[in-house]
Amino acid sequence: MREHGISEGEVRAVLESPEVEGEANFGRLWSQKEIGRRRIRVVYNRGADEAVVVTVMLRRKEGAGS
Amino acid sequence: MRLDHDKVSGALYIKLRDGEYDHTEDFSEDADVYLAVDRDGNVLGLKALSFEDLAQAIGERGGKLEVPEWIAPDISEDELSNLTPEQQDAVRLRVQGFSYDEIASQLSMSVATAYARVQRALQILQEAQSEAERGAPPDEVRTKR
Repeated sequence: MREHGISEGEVRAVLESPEVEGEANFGRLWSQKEIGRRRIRVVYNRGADEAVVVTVMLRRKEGAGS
Repeated sequence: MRLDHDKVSGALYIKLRDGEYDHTEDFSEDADVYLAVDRDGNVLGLKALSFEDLAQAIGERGGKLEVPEWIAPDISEDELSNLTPEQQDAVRLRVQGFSYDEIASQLSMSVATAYARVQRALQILQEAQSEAERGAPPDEVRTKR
């Protein structure tokens, strides 16, 4: 998270109120949310009573860059 | 080029060049393999969330990657005693080479639960091993899940 400049609070915000959700590979799940000017995606495993974060990343917005 | 492997999560990161990370793009249609990219579109590195994901992504491109032996470590019954019976069942199947789909089917659970249970169990085993190497017994009772 630190290397991508994504805070733990932002990860919690993505998991607690995602704008888009989906299924990743091997049963993993992902949630995504735009916070400020960044689109943050969190890939996680759903445990019995917790989400175990596997990785976080910034996704490119449509129209940004090439 | 630099290769990093997170033994707890199983993720693999291949750093290809220095640069300022801007965003992540998908490398694979189905597998969790991603490219770290800078603002100009240069690929800085590749991240696979597991060797199985990397093998799947390479397979999509017509290649083949054998899952290395460390995926199936030699775990003793004594070491397994650190785990709950449910975690032991899942780890035994994984060590025998069953896929997460197969483990989920055999243990009547979702693939996500099977994956999470095995990963958590391996994490506990690794922590117990680290404690043992430091010469101190684990002083924490793990939460049963």
